[in-house]
Amino acid sequence: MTAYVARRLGIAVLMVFVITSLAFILTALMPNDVTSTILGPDATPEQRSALRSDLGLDEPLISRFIGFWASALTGDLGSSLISGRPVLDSVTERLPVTLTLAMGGTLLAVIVGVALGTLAAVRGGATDTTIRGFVGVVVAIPNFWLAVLLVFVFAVTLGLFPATGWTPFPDDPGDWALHLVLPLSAIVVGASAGIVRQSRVAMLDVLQRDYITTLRSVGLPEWRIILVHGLRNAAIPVLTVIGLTFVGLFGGAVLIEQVFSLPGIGPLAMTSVSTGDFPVTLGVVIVTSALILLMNLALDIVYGIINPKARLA
Amino acid sequence: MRSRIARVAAVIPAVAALTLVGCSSSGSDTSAADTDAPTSISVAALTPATNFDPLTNWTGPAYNYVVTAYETLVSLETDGSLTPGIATSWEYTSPTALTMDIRTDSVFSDGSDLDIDLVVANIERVRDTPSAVQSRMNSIDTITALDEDTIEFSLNTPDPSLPGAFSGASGMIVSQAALDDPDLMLTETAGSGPWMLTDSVAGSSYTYELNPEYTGSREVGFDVIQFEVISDLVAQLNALLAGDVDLGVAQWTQRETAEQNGMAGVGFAGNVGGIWLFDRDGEVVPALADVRVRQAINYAIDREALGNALWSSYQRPTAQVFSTQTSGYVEELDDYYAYDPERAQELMDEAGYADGFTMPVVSRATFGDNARLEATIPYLEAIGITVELVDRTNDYDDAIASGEFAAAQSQAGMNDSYVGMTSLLAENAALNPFGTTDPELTELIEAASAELDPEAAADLWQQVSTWVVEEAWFAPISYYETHNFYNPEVVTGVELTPGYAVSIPFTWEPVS
Repeated sequence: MTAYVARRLGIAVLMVFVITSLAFILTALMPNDVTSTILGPDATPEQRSALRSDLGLDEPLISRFIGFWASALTGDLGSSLISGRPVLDSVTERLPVTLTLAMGGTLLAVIVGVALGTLAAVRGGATDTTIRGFVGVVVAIPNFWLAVLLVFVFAVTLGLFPATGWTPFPDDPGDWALHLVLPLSAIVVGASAGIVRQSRVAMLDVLQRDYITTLRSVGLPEWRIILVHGLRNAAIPVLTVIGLTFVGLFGGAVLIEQVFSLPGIGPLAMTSVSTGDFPVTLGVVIVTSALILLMNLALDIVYGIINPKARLA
Repeated sequence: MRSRIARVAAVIPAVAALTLVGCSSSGSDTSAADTDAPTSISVAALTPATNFDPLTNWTGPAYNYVVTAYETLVSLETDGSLTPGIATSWEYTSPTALTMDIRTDSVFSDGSDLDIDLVVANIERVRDTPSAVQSRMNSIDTITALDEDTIEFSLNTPDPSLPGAFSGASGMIVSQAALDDPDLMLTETAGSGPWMLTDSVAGSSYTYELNPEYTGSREVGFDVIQFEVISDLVAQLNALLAGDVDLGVAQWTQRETAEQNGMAGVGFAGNVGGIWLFDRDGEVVPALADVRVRQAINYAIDREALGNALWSSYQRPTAQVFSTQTSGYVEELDDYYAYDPERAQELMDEAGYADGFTMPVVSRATFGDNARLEATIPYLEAIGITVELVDRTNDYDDAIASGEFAAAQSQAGMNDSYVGMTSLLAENAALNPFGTTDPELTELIEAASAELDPEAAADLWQQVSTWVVEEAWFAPISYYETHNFYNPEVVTGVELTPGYAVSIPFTWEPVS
């Protein structure tokens, strides 16, 4: 198990290096020049040249690349070229918002998805048909479109929830929850669809197993068979979908953050790319890729624990 | 907020189970019964504050993050006039010498005092720090404190625009502590203005409260200004209608929707948009060297129809680039090129381009440039000109500077004739990438820049504007409005200041 974890960890570290290095090269190739953002259009060529020199943009790409990694390995991701703020501060202060959306969305999607999937598998008939039909519809609805619709109905028309904004949890837990209702609703609807399908199929498979028949024959209550013995074994294939759901929601949060004006990673990434603020862009890439790879690593470890065969893969 | 929570609780029991702590995030909630309560307003801001340094937040939606907290040397009023700020008076003693008298009773929010040396150091910081306003200080040679309340600026070239420049970010004075350590302004304001930053959620909201040390003459209406970052115009409209904010920026369509729902709107036609014809010597597109071709382009555009299609009634067709608030504006020039496709074709024929020509035009997705150009193209095709839209959104300024493009779809909004000249007409202007020059124009510009008498200077700038229109250096469409909308039950006195897209808080008053 230790060797398995070490191997997975090594792959994760290598992936972060490769992804960030690719991002470094791509940002270097981007046509937008940060000096235009800082100086505006009316600066003299001398002022532009002096700034490029100050920022080290006139150095060869390879020396900038080495310099970046030399600093990054010590935990220094540099400072924003626009605001002067340390990149790590800028990224980490935005991370809780995106993580709240991604983790909260994943958790709710799992609860809704597993509940509906189990219900469809156990009840069958019209219930199964209805749930599958509902899933078929919602899986086709883009979450940003649903977000706009939710805002129009529940914020603008009914005035039940705020249309935009964010309140940190420590400042006001009630207001924090209130601001999250619409964004989470927008992402949970679509995110739960895949989990419904996966858990329904897994549960149907488990319920046909011999040990379930044995449990029924000894008179164990049906609810106990389903919730304890059935769900435990049906959960294994669902884990795969949960990991993918989290990654999808983390990346997809950008659009939701835009619609609801949430101060997450998405707006920071978009602003840094459009202004050519490459230290912030790279900071976002390095932190988010590390997070996602850690999530995958955690799932791999759980797999390894549940299924010893996976350790040999 | 409490009524909203009550409604939610009635509809969704799960939410009602949460511990709901009332905290208003919307609007002024000063009740008539409690007249001593601080007045507050919630304002939508399109962008977050990158920091609280005036040099970074010099324009656009971010301007309010600093104009609230920093006093300027000169004050800019909503009618475009300049009034005393920290500088009580100013005078050009020669075309290259400006003196300013300073009041030294300002106190910063950290309790420190303003003095003449601090003002000098501030202007030197603007001149030496890379920023978008640095170039406005290029004409300054030396800054000298003549005595404890008089500053002299010695200029290397005539520059009548400096008082105007000092009414914006260039003239915002930061405290000695912020000068010593600019990192201070990463998280807090350091000015002597009417308000000061007291709380913030990075990227989301910023709370400004009255600065107890303020000694200036601005009468402020609201005790608390809460800026809420809403980076999408439709989301701002939703937030306004939902009661989350009381004021925001809009395009005309959103303004109309807001007004239909009981809100109010205000607009100001400070910008002019159209095609800037850079290649007046015909280096890339030889046809543009002929003034008759440039005039034909101007005659070919139906500004009335095009302006209406793009901006509804919130625009006024024009053939000149000098904005209405500048001394160079000449009303008669607005319809100098009345729509006349036959005349346009005649000019094309006379110039030897009866079969037309192809003209790549650089454009961008932002500021509505692509949409404007796409709407203009059919008019030019009608006289045989094939326009190729080249979208360079990511490096628009660099694309123009490269000299590869004969023309660009662009827009300009100037407060000052001289500033407009430096960005559009001067040989080294950013928007004159081919460095086109003309002896007659140069003579007019030099005379206007050096003229100390305002009336005589205005006459010269109007001659400059007339010359540029006659020579068809540009093909503008209209002066078009920028818009703000607001809740009239919360705030009154919302006005737009020339040169700024967002209403500045000094005129806002709470509705009793």
